[in-house]
Amino acid sequence: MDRSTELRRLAITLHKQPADLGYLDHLDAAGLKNLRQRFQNRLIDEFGHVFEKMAGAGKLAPDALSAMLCKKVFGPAITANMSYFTPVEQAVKLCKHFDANFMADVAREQLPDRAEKMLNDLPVTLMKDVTRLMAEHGDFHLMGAFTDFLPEEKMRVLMEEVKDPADNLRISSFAQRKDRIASLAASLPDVKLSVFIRAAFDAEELTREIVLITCEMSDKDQTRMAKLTDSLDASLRKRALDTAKSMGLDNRVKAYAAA
Amino acid sequence: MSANDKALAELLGSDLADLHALNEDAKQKLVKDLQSARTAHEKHLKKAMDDALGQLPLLLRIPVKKLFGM
Repeated sequence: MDRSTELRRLAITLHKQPADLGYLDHLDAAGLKNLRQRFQNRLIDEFGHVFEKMAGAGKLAPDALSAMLCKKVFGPAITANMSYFTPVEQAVKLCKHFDANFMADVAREQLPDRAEKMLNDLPVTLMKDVTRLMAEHGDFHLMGAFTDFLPEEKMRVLMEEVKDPADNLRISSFAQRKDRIASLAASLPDVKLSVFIRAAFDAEELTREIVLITCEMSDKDQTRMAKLTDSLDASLRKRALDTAKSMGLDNRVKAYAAA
Repeated sequence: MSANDKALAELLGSDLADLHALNEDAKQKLVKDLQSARTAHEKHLKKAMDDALGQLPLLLRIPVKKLFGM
């Protein structure tokens, strides 16, 4: 688990910058994640009784009426909070009545950790426009967190909606499951993977991200990454290895270094 | 249990073992940051509720508030 990812996620939850949370230096990644999840769940528990009642009342109404109330009366914040108390099957049916803008607004209010079943059951066709809108809005921290719970085949489809390869890396930088990102990256053809590698060297935080992804790859895939990197620019691999060393990860990219 | 420990237990719903590693100064800062985030969340939800109630006819607002325990 990457500590920097969890620190950034906690900082956003607390409306702070990561640098403001230096007092939590003694907490490791798991400790930071535990703290964030416990706090977020506490907020849902504390304020949830109202939303649970509202969701209960909504079960009695036809889906089209419930969806109209969500859009016209409740708004995205209440709809998102009600979703935690709505059966997934009903929530998916309601989503079919929402436009992409409203769904994106609701997604911004949701806890990704609580959305796994819904992400599994929601048709990918409904998610494409939402993905594009959220990327355009710069909601990378949320999209990254959702990625941890998204089925891999949907990740594959939805990443096509994010046009800027640097944005895909920004999203990935907020995902904790780097192994899944690595698997996805390794499945890309050379041309596409090279585009991401190129983008990774435009900014230090993106280089860090490509290092984290490479760490999760097999020796064979690391070798491939090395060769693609070299084909772009002979100096890039050294930059990546220097970054890996500064992160204490040089022993996890041995195949990449040796290629 | 210090005052900070009690405040953290309240804000997090229970005692969190990971936080035992923090000194009192760090715990105090964490309490402050969690309280501030909680207040912001409460304000955000209250505004959403008020906006929703504002969509309803005047006579329905109080009954609806009572019905849902708002």
